[in-house]
Amino acid sequence: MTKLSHIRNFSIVAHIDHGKSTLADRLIQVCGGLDDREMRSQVLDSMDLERERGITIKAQTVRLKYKSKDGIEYILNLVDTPGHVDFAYEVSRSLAACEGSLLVVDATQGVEAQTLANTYLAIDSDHEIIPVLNKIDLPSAEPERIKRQIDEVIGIDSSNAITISAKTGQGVEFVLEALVNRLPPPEGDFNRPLKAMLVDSWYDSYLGVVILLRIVDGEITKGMNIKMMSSGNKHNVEQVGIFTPKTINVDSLSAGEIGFITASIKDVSDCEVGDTITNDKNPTEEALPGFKATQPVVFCGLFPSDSAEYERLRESLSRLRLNDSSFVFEAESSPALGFGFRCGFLGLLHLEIVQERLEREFSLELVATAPSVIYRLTLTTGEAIELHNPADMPDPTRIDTIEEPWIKATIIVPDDYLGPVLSLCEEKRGNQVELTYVGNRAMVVYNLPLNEVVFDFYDRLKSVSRGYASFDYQIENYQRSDLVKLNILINGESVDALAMIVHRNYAESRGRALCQRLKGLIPRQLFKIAIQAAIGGKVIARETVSALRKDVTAKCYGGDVSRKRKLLERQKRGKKRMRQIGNVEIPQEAFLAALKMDKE
Amino acid sequence: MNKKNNPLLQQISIYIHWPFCLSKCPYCDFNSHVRTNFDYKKMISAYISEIHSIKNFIHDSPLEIGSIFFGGGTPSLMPPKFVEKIISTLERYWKFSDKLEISLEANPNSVDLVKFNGFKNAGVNRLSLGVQALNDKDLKFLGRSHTCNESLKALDIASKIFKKTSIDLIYGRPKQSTSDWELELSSALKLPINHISLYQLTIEKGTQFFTDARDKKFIMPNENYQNTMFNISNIITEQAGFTSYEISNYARPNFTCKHNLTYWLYKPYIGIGPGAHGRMPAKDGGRVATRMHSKPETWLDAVCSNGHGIAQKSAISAKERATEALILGLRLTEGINKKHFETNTGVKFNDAVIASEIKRLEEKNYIVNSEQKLKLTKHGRPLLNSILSHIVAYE
Repeated sequence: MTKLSHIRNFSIVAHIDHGKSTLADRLIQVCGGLDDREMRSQVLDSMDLERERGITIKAQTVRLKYKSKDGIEYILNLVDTPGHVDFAYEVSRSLAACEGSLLVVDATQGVEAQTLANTYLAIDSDHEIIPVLNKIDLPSAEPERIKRQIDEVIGIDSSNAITISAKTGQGVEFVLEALVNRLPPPEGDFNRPLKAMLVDSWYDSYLGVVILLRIVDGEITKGMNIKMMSSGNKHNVEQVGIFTPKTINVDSLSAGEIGFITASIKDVSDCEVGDTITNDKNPTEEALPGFKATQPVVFCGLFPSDSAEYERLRESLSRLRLNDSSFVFEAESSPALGFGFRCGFLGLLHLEIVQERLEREFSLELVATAPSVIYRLTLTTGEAIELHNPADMPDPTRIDTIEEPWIKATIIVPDDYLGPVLSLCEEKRGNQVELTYVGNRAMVVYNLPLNEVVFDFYDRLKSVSRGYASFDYQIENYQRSDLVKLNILINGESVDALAMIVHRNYAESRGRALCQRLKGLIPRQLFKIAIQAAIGGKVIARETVSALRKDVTAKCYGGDVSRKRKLLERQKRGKKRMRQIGNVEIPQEAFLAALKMDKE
Repeated sequence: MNKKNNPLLQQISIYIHWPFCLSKCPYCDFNSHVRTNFDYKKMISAYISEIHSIKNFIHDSPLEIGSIFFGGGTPSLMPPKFVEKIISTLERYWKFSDKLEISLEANPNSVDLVKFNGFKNAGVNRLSLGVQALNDKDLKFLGRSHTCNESLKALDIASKIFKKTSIDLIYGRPKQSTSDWELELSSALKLPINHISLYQLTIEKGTQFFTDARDKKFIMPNENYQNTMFNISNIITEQAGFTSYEISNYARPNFTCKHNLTYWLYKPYIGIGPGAHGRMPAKDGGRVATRMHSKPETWLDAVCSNGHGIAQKSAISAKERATEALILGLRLTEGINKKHFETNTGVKFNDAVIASEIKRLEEKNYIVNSEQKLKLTKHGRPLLNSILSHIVAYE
């Protein structure tokens, strides 16, 4: 048991590439957690995907030993949080496990939207915040300007900000001293019944589910029977340990400490982030506040390119879910795309990550339908339903009202690109809430329909701002809206996989764009192909793919018919991979590309 | 030799591949090789050995040779006595049909002209001349080593020696206008020929043209243009008294190429020489596919040690036979005779095709389906490949 006064629990808040992982590496190194031989770059990002994309998906913790100038050896627990809005709830739970945060800002770049969102989450968790200006070694660093920005934009005192270079190690000892001197020690009572917060969990093929937890009160020991307070499920603790970042087993973890346990749990879905863990024999009376069951926000259909891969996709989804209970899936069948799954995600990045992991770790080829949000429908009968899939939209005559989710988006952008960003937000049906200038940068706050954001907002924002805009959002509320289902018909047959729900005012332009795009993607065939966009029974756009005129080899092969036969056989197999809509064969690329509109 | 036709005899065709050319044409992806030094004496004895070995592979039922075709490469580079030796060897092993057709492909180079009589004396009775174009500019583009005048001269001589003469032309060349083609084809049809093959220029992987087209050294005519030229070809040949009996082949009455019909009717044939393909009759009535080593040196070594140059020999399954018979048979204007199809492949015609697709394509006027026959309409013929991908049942 460590004295509470000798423990400091902290996290690092930073924008992508502002140096969070490098600083973490440096702290580990200075405290002797790993020797030079074991050190590799970005120790905490263990997934390839995390390292490549510079994002943290799973929370990690490291216990560091630091002998302060006051002569006392402190235990510093670093909780590395996921850094993206999709995981705002997970971030808030990680932050709740700590008493303070390092706010790392790139001294050459300044505050970004993500920094802001996560800093506010840290403030909400009553954190003591220590501003740290990184990359001070670069000639373009402007610490004074950035300090002013922290004062003005975030509204926290930056007068005692620490200037460092995580890369060279300059100033890192001041960070460690500040953690000891400026952060409060954790509170908690060792004598009370066990009360621990589940910070994160993941599946390890050797250990089963590993749970990361923060002990609030009491103590957890090997062999203890614990209870998950949200589900009431019970487990026997097999292993108690800490990460230094090496895995080290200990006998117990007690109030104020952070570490991990294993309890032969098979399924991460029994380990929900934010849940309270207690001693089954001597339970705490009250669960920790702030627990929320995860709610998917964005949905899309995932279909195997090769229909024979359906079972493998199901297995892969189940295996991924072992590690990530925040996405959900259920079987779906589409006349156009065959058998697949309707999947729900925390946000667009989450969707992308899951899709990429399926393709990378399980070598699956996927066709994904357009992302969709949850619409709330009130039918004329008075019945209220939630709509996850545009294909399921009831007939308009049966619908009384439709509501769609709106978000509050914060965008920080150099003022050179402000104009295009504003027009993008307007185009996406946004309402401006706030516009603030800070030096040569602007912070814009908009209310936007999530439906428009999941469509192609990220890509467009990136392109209109040359990648300089940073973006963050939170779900705000549901609002009534004039939404219609846009159907795409190929030779008169509606293609469910291409159906989308759009605002009435945008239906025509979007329908026209989609028809034009499909025209370029569907190869000419023996018959003329009509591509139509329709709302209900009304056709609003039409394109035609003319019939093929010549497709014959006017050539003699000198008796080598095997080659022709193999060519034909290959062609027939290729046709199998195409999707048949009526008598029209549509290549899968057409679905994929049609959904990525407006990029040109 | 008994040359009387016996109705019980199964007819077979023989393809002889001579792989050498004086130069490689930039569009050609056939098995042709340029060699300055080669032991041609060894070559001829290898052909003889290979014929001997193949004879022993084929089951005992009596066969009769209906056609022999010397293709290449440039078979007119062969000394006539090689041709004679090959023909006499074949005659030693098999009966010759009394309507035996022996074709030989020739280039209109002056060197080869003097051999025409020799070829005739060896038994060749049909000469196919690789004219390719009737203007010197395009001949140069196509990498041909002869001029237009040389072609006309060669044809003049050939028509006096051989009863059956044919020429090849390549159309759809870059910058060739439809009226250019009309004129060129019309004048070609006035030449002393009774058969003509009109091949469309296609860009094949591994050829010089493939690289050139990729590097945009020339632009190929587009699909509509090619289709128009195809239609023009059909009209002009018909007006000149030639019948279009296959996608790219036209003949005056009774002058169809007997040998090539063997392929299109899916009758058995033997392939001899480097890179030659064969569909030999198997005991069960099926087919055995053979493919010889392509490189002359490899083939020669193989023949020296094994007696034959077979690189691959495999049974063709019933389904494969059916697909092949459809691919080839629908090229014919006459279409496929369903009864013959069933005899040749051992597969029920209705099992080999997708009935619903046939019906659909018939409604769209792409094909005509009767009890006896399946054939493409005029409208469907330029779309053969797509039509096949719809109707063929097996994959």
